[in-house]
Amino acid sequence: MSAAQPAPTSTQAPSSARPPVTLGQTTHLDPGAYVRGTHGITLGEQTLVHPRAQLVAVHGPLSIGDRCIISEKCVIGGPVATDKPSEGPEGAGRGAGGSGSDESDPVKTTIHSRVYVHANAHVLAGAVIKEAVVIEPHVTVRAGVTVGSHAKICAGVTVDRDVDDWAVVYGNGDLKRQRRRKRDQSETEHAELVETMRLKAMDKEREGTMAILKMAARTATLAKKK
Amino acid sequence: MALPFPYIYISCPCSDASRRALTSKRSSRDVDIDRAMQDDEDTFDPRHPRSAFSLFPPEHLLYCEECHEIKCPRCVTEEINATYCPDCLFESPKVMVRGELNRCPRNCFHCPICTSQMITTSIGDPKSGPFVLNCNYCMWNTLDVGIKFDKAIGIRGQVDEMANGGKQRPATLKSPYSGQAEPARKSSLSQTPLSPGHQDEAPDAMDRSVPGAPLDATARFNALRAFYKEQITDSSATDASFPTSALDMAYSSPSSLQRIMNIYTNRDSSAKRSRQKLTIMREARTSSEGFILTTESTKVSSPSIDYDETTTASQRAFQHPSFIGNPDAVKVSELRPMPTLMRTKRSKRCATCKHILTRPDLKISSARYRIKLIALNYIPFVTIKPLPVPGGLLAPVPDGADVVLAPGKPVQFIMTLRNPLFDDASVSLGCPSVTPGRHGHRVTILCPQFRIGKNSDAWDDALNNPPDRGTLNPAAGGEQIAGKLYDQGRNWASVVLEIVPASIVRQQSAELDEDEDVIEIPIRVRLEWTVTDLDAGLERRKRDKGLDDGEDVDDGKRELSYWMVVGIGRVAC
Repeated sequence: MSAAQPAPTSTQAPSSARPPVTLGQTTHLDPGAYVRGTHGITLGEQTLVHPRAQLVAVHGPLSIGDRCIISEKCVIGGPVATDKPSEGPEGAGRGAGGSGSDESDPVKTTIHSRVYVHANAHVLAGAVIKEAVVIEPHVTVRAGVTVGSHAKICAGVTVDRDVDDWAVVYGNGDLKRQRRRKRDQSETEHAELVETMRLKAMDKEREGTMAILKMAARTATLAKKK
Repeated sequence: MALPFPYIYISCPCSDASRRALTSKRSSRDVDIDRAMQDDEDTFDPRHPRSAFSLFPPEHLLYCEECHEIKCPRCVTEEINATYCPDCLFESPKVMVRGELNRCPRNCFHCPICTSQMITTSIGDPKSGPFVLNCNYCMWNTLDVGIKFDKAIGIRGQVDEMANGGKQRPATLKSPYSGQAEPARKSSLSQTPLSPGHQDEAPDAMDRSVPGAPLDATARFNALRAFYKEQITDSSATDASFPTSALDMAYSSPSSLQRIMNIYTNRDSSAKRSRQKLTIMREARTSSEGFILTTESTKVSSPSIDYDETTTASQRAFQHPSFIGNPDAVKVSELRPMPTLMRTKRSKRCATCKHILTRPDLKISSARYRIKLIALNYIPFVTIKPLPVPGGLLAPVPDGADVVLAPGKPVQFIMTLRNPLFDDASVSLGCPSVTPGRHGHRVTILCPQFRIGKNSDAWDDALNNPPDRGTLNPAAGGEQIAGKLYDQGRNWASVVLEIVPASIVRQQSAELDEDEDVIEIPIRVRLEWTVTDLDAGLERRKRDKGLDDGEDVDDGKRELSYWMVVGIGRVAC
């Protein structure tokens, strides 16, 4: 099913130039999601992109790893094109892996595997989200910020500096908690055990939602044909 | 004041000193009444420091049908109807609540890090566990402090028995109220002090509490207290001047005071006596008696702690009381999950006549009220807006901006009173011509006496009356004639209020007091209405009761008067 869903048809990008999207075989990029920009967008295996999520490759290429969930109304690689599109990613000198044909240097936005981005979160261009990060609703990850693996950004927080591995950022963004202390061996095991359980639950959720969304997309196309 | 202009406050008469004298002493009523009447004549001053305590937004007030009076939160008594856990909505019987330390006895816990609710999750088999408590917000879980549960139910009981690290908690850590306050320890008095037999005790104590687990502060306190109590009982068998009961002495009781006075007045004799019979008390020696070496305590608070691992003040505050949590926690790993605090459903009674004013639904899951006598069902609801004349003030926009009036320039406002009663009410409004306070603003109510119609069915009204009834006197609309209503409707009437703000003159150096430029107008509202057959049953019942008491027969006439304070705006200065 997903193999028979080539990327360009699945995009409803308002921009004239559709970005080249590379999809994994088992990835579901919903037809309702917006894809825009000129740079390349790469999605890994078994990743789920909800309808109305925005993948923006205006400022540079976008790469999303395996088994991620990108919820609706998320903006990845933003800010969305305004009058000055080069405003956002300034100061993000990280990983310029794009073609460089634009007026400003393209910045690469990277989301690693098993990341859960909740609804209405903004990941600005140039940010790096490492493995198994949870980004809750209404979070803004600023340009050039690296969020360490297994970290959690709680709802409404704006992240303007790098976040350590296994950290939880909550409150107004000024409260931080380490889920795993480096010294304690048993602690590490416990944290990993709980994290495994969480990732398992996330996989289940992803598979279930993916099935529903695939079904919905198929019904929608059938209805359109009739 | 915090509310945006224009605002309305109502003064509860309970804070009126003369009033209190009037109601508390029924016999001297006739004597006081003259003075009370005279006090009533005095204008209520909203700027008086005392007024702040009696002014309430109308929404906060209740009305007692028995006393026919407005009741503010200070003239009601509250009683607890039910105690329940807000998380699981389970009701706890009253007798149990105390033993449960006012916290949920089942599975509800809050995270010691971020205080959000925790959920029980399984790490392993979903049915058989083991289980942990997990905070979905900050992702703290009880594994961080080394606590696992065998069962998914009765978590509170399991937590109570477990110390951080998963070891069993010493039994003395049980709460002092749970009936196991006194540890079931062997009395040291079975041996004589300093006898070699005390060594045998130690292993006995050790097998109950886990070896090596130091008692925490509460347990140590309990142990020490019990130990010294026994010692004193022992020694005071021969010394009468310091009885055991002195330990549990209530200082407020007269007998205890008597005893203390005795110690001081008969100092010579008691000193003599104690010199005669000097008994030896031994000090606590074993850890089961609460003894702890200081070297041990210094080891506990070792200096090498990461800053990230320390607790915050609010986290420690959340750990109270000490027999459930650990308020002395230095490290995050010493924190304990806290069971949810119970909440209560309360009903409110009138403090004078014990009539029920509000009574919540018995069902915990329902947020409704069975009885709720709110004052706005009895007193007119007042709204105020500027008079729409050219060059006048604009209606306030909800952006929180202040209404600013130019000094010396008359401004008109429309004050609308909406009658919630099912009977016609006659209203008279009285206000001083000049507002009290340092800056007297001139105030005129163009029509101080009028009637407002009953709050009947809106459809009845539409059917019975020609459609132009809604705007009764359209010709008069906009006119400001003294003695005439500005506008009138089915159950409302509006009058014009004219204000001439005084200019605030001040020296260059003089600063305005806070809110000194606010125009607040005290208005005495007096309502009169006659209760008709709508609640005749109630009236009859009251009348029967009244006859028994030998009081006047209730003729259904009601009258209510109170001071209302209207905040109009600020004077430009």
